Amino acid sequence: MSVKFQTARETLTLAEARPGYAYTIASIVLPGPLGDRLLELGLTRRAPVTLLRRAPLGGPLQVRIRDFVLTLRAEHARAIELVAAPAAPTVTSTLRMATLQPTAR
Amino acid sequence: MLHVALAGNPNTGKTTLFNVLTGSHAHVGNYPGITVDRRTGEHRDGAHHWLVHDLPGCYSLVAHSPEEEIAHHVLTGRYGDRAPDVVVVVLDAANLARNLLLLLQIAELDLPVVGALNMMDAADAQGLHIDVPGLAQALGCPLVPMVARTAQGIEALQTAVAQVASDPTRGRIATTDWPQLIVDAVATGRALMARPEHAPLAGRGAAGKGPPPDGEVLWWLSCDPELADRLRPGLGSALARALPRAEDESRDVRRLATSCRYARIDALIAGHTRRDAQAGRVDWTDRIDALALHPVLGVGLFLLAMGVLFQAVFAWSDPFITAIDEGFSGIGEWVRAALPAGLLTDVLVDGVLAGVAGTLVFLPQIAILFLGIALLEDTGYLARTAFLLDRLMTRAGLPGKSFVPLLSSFACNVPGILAARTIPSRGDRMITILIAPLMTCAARLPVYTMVTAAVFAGAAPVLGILSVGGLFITGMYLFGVVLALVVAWVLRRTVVGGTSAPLLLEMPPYRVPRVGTVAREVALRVRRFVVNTGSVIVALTVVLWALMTFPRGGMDPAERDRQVAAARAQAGEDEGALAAGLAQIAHEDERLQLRDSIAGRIGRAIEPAIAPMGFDWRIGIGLVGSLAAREVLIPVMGRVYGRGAQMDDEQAYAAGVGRSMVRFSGMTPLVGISLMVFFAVAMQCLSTLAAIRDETQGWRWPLFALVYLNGLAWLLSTAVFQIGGWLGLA
Repeated sequence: MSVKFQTARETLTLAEARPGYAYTIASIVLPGPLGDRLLELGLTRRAPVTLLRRAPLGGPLQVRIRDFVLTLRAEHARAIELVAAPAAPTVTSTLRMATLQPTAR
Repeated sequence: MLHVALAGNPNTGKTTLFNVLTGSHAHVGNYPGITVDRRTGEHRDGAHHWLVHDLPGCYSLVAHSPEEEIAHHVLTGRYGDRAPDVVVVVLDAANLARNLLLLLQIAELDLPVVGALNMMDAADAQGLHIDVPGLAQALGCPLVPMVARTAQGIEALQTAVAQVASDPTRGRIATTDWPQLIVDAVATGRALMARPEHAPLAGRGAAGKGPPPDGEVLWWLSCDPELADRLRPGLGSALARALPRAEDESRDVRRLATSCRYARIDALIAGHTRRDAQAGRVDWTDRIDALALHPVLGVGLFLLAMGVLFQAVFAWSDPFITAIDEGFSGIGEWVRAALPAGLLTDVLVDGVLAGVAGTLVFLPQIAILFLGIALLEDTGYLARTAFLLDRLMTRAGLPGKSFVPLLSSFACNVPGILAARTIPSRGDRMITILIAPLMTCAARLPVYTMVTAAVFAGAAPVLGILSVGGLFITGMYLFGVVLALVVAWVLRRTVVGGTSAPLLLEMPPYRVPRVGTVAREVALRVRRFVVNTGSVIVALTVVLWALMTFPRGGMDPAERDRQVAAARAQAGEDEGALAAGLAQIAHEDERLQLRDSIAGRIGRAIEPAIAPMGFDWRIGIGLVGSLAAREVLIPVMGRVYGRGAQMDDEQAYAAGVGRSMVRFSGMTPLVGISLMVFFAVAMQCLSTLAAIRDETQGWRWPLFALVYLNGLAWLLSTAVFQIGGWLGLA
């Protein structure tokens, strides 16, 4: 699926993210082992992340982080802070995002 | 012989590689005190001879769960094994960043590594181009492109391992360029680890020669302090005091280390990989997920899948179960005919053989269930079910992954309990295992049917179509589920403790299931069940047989001869009448024998205890006998009432037993309901007990389950009977 970019630069949590838009991680506000684990899975600062879909009724979120897809609960998504991805990403990872043209909204 | 450890993320084809390398020379055991599989095997190919240790798949070495802890311990030479000579880290080529984290962590333990760049075919299909030699050079260790599934790259892997074994520097990656904060922290940690009071407990593995490498210090630092204290007294607390956690991620040593590793990884990947433009490429996983995770269609698909699974376990296993039952009956008869009549033959047939049959009769359901689970997991669909179910299950207070085990428990508790092994969190697994017996299993159904047929036979249908008996049976099913939720709630807050594991799950791309892997998984589980649980079932069956056989009672021989003679005289020429008369005498003999046996005495002895539930001593004997299997209540009651134990026509026989219960034991509708409630809750099935013992590796939890379930059954049954009686519903 094609990835979209927001033109305005804003900080928001993963829980508020819009499906299909490209973001990068700003920080993880989760002390303790769960936060450590998220970091180990690759949710480091400036890592590219896209929300794919949400389960209904406040269920889990399906998120693409770098090269793989992760399921996590809504309550944890609220602790992950994001920034809208710049059109020219600072982290050139293997994500397909790096080769698409941004579409203005 | 080279010690080679196989490490890697889950879903990287590590197990496939292990199977390819070790073939049938693999051994699956357990690590002490933990229900994590320990897989080792030998790899022999020409000059190459390895002892391969397949470590549990993990995303990081940091000990968030037993899997990571074990991986770390094996790599550092605990459990009495020596540390591996070479570590082969299996990497998913399409997922390089996260996979390289584990590789760096392992390399930081100062171990020589070889990277097996697996699933190259999937990477190619995605248009991913990796400059393998360049990346290997920049990284500092050999990288072998592979497709383990088709055994491509094995020779190159062997060569690389041999090279690194002979010259370990070829596999030693340079340390990450740590910022000063981490350098200082590592020095502090190293000093603390050197103190004698924090040395590992005697006999608990290598303290290592010389100062621990960076990775080792960082591991202990990142560990949960309580865990660290358990393994090396006081170390966890000391490290937590000397290097407390910081609020700011960039000042927290543990998190900073991870970030630094990823920064290094990102640079490596950017410099040596390239992805083609994606336009026009079909992503099947996305397409299927659009359906599978759709709020309405996805749920529908899920219900369909579960329905098929349940049907398979419940109904499709029937012909196999019948075949095994009849097969063993046949063997039993053959043995009886072949050996002289006597005690030994009886033990053999009714004790040992019955126990073996009683074990093998579970095989069809277990095999089918695990086949289903393996397919769900291998295709990647199981991760999708977690996504769909999580909200519902957490609302109900149940762990998300317990759905399939609990669903299968409706067919039979034993495979359901075994399936709880797929639940990673220990607390969640325990709760699932402890409430699984409350799911009404198929064996209770004959008892329910018999009881409702006997006491509700004449009742008018509710609303004109629903039979009273049928409604009660449905009610029992619902009762079991509701009770399970209540018990789960209580257990979580009292005995089991801990919070439910957070949902953090990788959703792998869909994949065609691999027949070999799936078949192997099923075979392993089945074998483990037969050997471990089976031996306990056989032992308990023999004990139960002894309880029902000794002391040898029955009719007084002189009295028996007299009755036989009388029967002959009465029957005269009539063969049929003679046979019936002799059968009558045989049944009476059995009845008396059972009454005088230990089981009979127990039944009579517990009468005061079961009287509040409305049961008499005859039902008491039935309860003792149904410990073998719940449906055995019916033939045992048959013996108790002098109807013999052979069933030609099951339905008619059960009906007859029901009538006897009404007539001799005073079974009223209220008693019937009380009995059904008891059967719904009580743990009577020895096989379930054995399964719990196997899954929890000890007798503590099975005994707890026995006490809590039977105690609860007694309370509820008594309550039903007493309150019902008090309300005047007889």
